[in-house]
Amino acid sequence: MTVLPTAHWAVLGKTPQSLDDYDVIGSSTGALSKAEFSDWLKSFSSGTVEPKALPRVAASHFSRGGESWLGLSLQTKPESQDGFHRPYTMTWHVCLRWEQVSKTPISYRALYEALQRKDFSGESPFRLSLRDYDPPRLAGVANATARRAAALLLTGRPVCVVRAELPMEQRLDFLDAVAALLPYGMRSGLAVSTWTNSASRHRIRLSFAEVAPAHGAWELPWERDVPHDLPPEARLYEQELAQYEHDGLTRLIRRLAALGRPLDLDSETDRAEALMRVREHTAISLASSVKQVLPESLDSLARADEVRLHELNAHLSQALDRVTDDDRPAYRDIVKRNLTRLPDRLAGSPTTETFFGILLRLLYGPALHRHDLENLCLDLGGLREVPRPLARALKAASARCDPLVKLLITYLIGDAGMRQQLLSNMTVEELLHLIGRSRDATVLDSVLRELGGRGDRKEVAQQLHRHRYLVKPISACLGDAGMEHHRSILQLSRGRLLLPGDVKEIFEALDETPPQAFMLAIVAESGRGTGAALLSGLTAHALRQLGLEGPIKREIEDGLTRMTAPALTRALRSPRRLFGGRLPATTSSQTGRIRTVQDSLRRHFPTPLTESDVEAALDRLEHPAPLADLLAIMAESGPGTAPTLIYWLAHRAVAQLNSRLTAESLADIDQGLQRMTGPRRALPLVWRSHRGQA
Amino acid sequence: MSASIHDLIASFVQRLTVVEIDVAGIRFFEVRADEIGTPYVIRRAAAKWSTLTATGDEVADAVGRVARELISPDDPDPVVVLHTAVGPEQEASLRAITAWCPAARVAHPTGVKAGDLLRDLAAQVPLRQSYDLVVARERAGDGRLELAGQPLFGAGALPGQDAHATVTCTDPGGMLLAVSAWAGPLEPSGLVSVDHAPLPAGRHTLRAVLERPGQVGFPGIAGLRPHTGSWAEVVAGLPVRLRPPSPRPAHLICAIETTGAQDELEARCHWPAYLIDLLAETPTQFSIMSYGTHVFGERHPVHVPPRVVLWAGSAAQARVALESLRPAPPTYPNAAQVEDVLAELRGLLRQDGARTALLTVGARPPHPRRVGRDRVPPCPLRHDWQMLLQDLERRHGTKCAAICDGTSPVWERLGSAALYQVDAVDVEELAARLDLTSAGGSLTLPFVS
Amino acid sequence: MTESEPAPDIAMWGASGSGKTAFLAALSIALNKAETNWKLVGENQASGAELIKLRNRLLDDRTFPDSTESLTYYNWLLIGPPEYHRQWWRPWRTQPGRAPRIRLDFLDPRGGLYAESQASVDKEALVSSLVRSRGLIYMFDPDRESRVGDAFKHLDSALNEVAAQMLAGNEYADGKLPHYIAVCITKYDDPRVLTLADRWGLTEPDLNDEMRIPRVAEDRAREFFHRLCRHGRSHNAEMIVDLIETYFHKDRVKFFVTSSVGMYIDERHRRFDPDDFLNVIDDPHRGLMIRGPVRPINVMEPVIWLGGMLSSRSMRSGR
Ligand SMILES: Nc1nc2c(ncn2[C@@H]2O[C@H](COP(=O)(O)OP(=O)(O)O)[C@@H](O)[C@H]2O)c(=O)[nH]1
Ligand SMILES: [Mg+2]
Repeated sequence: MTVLPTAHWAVLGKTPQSLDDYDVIGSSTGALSKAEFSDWLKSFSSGTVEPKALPRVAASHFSRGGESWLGLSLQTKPESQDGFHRPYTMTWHVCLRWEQVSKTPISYRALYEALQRKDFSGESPFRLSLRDYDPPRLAGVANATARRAAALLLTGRPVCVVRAELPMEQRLDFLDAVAALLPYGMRSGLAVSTWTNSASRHRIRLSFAEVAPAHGAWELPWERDVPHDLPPEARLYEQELAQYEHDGLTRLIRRLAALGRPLDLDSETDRAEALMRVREHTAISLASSVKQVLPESLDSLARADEVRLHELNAHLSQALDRVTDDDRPAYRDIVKRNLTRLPDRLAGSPTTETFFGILLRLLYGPALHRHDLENLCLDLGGLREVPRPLARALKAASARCDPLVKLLITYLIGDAGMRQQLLSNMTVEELLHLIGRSRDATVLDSVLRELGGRGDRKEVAQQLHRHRYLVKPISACLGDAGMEHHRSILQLSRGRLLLPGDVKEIFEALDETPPQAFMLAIVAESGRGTGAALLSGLTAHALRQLGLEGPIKREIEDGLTRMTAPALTRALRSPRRLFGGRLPATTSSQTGRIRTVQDSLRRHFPTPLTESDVEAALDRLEHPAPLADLLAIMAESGPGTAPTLIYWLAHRAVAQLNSRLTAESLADIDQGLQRMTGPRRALPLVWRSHRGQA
Repeated sequence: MSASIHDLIASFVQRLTVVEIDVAGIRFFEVRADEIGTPYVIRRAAAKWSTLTATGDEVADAVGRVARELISPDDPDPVVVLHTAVGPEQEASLRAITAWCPAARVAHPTGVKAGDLLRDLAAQVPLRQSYDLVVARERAGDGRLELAGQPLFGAGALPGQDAHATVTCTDPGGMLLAVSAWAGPLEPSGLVSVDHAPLPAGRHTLRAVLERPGQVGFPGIAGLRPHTGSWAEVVAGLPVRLRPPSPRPAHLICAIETTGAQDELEARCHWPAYLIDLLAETPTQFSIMSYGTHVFGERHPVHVPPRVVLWAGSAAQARVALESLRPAPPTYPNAAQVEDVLAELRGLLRQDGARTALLTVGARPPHPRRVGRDRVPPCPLRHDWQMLLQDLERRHGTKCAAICDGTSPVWERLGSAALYQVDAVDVEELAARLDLTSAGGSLTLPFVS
Repeated sequence: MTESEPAPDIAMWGASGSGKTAFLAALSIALNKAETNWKLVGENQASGAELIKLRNRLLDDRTFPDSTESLTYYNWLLIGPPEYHRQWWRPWRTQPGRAPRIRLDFLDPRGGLYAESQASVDKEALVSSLVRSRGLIYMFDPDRESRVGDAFKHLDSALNEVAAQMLAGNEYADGKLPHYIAVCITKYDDPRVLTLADRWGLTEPDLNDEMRIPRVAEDRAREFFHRLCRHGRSHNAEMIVDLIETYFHKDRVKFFVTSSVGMYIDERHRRFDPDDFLNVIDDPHRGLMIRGPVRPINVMEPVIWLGGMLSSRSMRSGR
């Protein structure tokens, strides 16, 4: 008994021998007037009583002058008669300001018990000594009917419990329990009664009655599961409540009791808030319950206690749908720390498999993603290898995963047959897509192998073209080491050495400047006379990359034309100017830069540049060479200088990829260069010797 | 002059008005008689000339006003003006009075003060009412004591006369000499005096002297002093009988309503038991009847007649019978089977010369013979309790007393000899009123046989 | 009248304790007693349950209903005997036709509600129901009137309120309320009422009635009512008849002398006994008890009259 709030009160009844109707015959003064009490009590009448309904307890609410009140009244058995010899009842009503009630939760039962100890005389308000709110007790009372009643209240319609043969106190407890299953603030607008007369138009939302009223109320038979066509809002709430029992329910009730903000059952948003609040609680409590159960599961796994593991599986699986991504890191942590080895005894057990299935979902959610697999290797690292039950669980889980993950799982569990089946069932498109998403060389290899095995070359070529020759995925996953894969793709797409047209087509398919490895792959795969196509492809991308337009673009294109023209075509050269140091970069814009470089070239070399000039100019570029500078050289280059540039570019690329290239690759590049530019010049590929050892 | 005023005092009907006009001023006196006819004088108004305004007319006005207020000219009673001084105010006053009241008799005596004169005269007038000495005597039929008057002075007797009365003093402590006045032959109008005379028991011849109207003396008795107690108590304390009754057999019938709770029934049985004990030594037979309430609302009428638990048994048997009574829940709240008891009695009682007394103890009145505005259903057997009661009284001289714990006015009739509330019963008195014992108390009044 | 038509509501009207609820309780008994073959059933579960409860109260418990605490609605259905039709092509056979149905939606307020001055939820519901209804049963309790004398006050304030809502518009151009009103003098069985009727020479035994229960003839009911009003405690009561007849069409007012429980008749003689007809007696356990069989007097008649009026009118006017 800790709470001692000040209560106001009123008595509704008659005086002996009176010929009038029920009215307020006494009340406390100071807060509510007699008329207000009368208004209150009459508008929340539970209807004409029958003797068996007495004593009757009802709770109701009232607001006046911006103040809200919660009241509870007890109607007692008749002791006297009115002037018509009709026995009349007395209704003893106490009320508290909502403000006061919302601070510490109070049950109807506590109010009722406090009321019974009071003497309703004089006219001053009195203090009520109220029993504490008792969630365990309320949880004990909250049966299925109470849960359903709470859920049905959230439809906004009144609920009437019928066919209940219970003593009044039990009915009161039931009302309390239903209210306890809703946010406490709902009591501010909830009128309940231990018995209502359904023929009267009362405003009681929740009550017991002989039969349900004719309009609008739910009829809820006591402890009988009559299948209701529950509206979604009620169904969801009921489902939510159904998860709680015993201590869990006690905790939920405690939490709901803390939600003292007044909520109105007439308001849809307020009603929705109830569901939201319970869900919130569910989430919190499930998360914490998994945290408790999971270590125990792992423990029973380690102890090979299959029975217990089975039990705990059931528990964990309940939580599955409610775990949020935010909870998973904690679970993973638990697993990382607690999962060490799988006893042999459990290696073949379906329970273990189930456990791993649950574990996968707990740790990574319903569908595994690629990064989950990576984490998996970390999290289950304690196992050192993938045990059979886990493999089976993974296999089962793979059904819910995308093809890539599926494929990765086959690697993880080492199931080649499955992998092969997986791949061969995929279309070219899907396979390419897989590569597009994969960052994994193994995957790439498998897919390329599969693609290589496919009969329909044309289809493969077309798809590769559409997928931009997989330049990006390959370079993304292999980087500088991707040249051979680029070459495989080019081979798959053409099946022969590239012709100038092919090179052109390929460059057109690309959406940005290709990486060096790809360029070298083209070089290695190129057939005769493709140099021009290569250069123009590169140039086009460079122009686009720098966003060059107008005269400068034309100048560069003109330069390119000159470069690729036969060397015999001599142009009149401008006089050579004094050479002085490196080319300065004075303006920020690319055009400005090109112009500056052009100027300095013109100053140092007679233009257009000859092969040796180009070579000299290229050698003088800073490292790495800015694209703009290259373009400037191109703009100033003279006829037949293309091979020089191509060699230079290839040289640079090779230098960059040096360590990743095998001797065979280098040889192929070399040959490609020769095919491209003609056999006139050979690249002094001095670094060749280093490769073989890598 | 005084003689005629004396006559007027002896004979006025309501009042005699005397106006005194003298040198100093004017005074209005009235002589009246109290309820036992003793005249007394009061002054109604007085004014000094000096307080009235000077001129004659104004004096006349003022006097006329007073006269109009105090005297009504149509009164049969006379108005006398004692005019003892001459002067303008006096004349004006006289004028005013005679103008208002032409029948006023005017006298001009000298050397008298009207107030004194009137008081003297009033003590000398003859009695307007006769005076009796209050005595007790035995009633002719049954010997019960009743009050009577022993004439002392008739109307017209003059102060100074004496009278003799021979009475018996029955109480060794003396007796009370009460003189009452009689305005007519039937009703005493009031007590003149009550004195305690410390006389020994025995016969005494008393001499009474009329000292003046309203005052009788008993000169022969030493130690006579006025009685200070209330007369009502004296009357209430009058014993029923002076001598023990002749031992005629009696029959007491107690009819007890058993409806109600155990303690209610016990309360009802308490007094009958007491009464039976009281009468145990007397030649009284006892009958005990119990009765309850009628049953209504049954499809076929249920009639449980009153039970005769004991008929004409001994006191001991009666006690046993009383003990055997058990309470019964009421089947109807507002009336009980009293009428059935009466009907039963009619069949049971024999005319054997015994005095019969019926004591009804209950909470509920009898059922009426027909439904009335009080919404009590009639007796299912249509007994008429009033007729039955009358019958009993007529045929057997039955005395009826009742002890009730209800409030119905009907009880007055059922308890015509004695009626008590259940929590305030004087059993000795009850027995006496039912003629079952003589009264115990002594007689404090003179007894004449 | 088909079921889909809006139901004519019948509202009960009368001070607290005037016998409204008892009247409703007696209704189905009255219908059963009279060999008219009319039946009263609840239109919905709650009303049905209440109907049985009320009836059992009188028949089994032999007491009166409890004091009404809040506005109560009873949706009842009065089902008559089927009418038999003869078909012209088979005149020797009769075909059972449809049973007539009268919907009776009763509104039983706590009596004080009419007199309450301040607005309340119940009061609004009451007035709006009165406005919607077309049939009224006005209960006049002569005993209460002689004790308190507030019938005029009640009637006047309630009529004012209803009239203010209904007559303000132009719908009722004649300035009268459209309701049919059955004015019922209640508790005719009470000695205080029957005695008055007797004393004023208004009773006559019904010769068709083997029990010879004295009746107030139909055409003298108004006079009885009028005299009872004059006899009442308050001077105003005299004006009640005028009040009713100013607010309602005179031909829509009918007077009934009613008793929900009827007179007590001794089963052995089966004759009315002027010395012993008290049917409501005090119960030993406080309260009242109905002594003999319940034989409602003029309980069914006002309802059937109203039902008939309302349904025929609704057919005519298509309300
Ligand atoms: N004698 C008699 N009393 C009645 C009758 N109807 C009602 N009463 C009395 O009047 C009281 C009040 O009746 P009730 O129906 O509750 O009145 P309401 O307040 O108008 O509903 C009842 O308890 C009975 O005592 C009747 O037909 N006869
Ligand atoms: Mg009622």
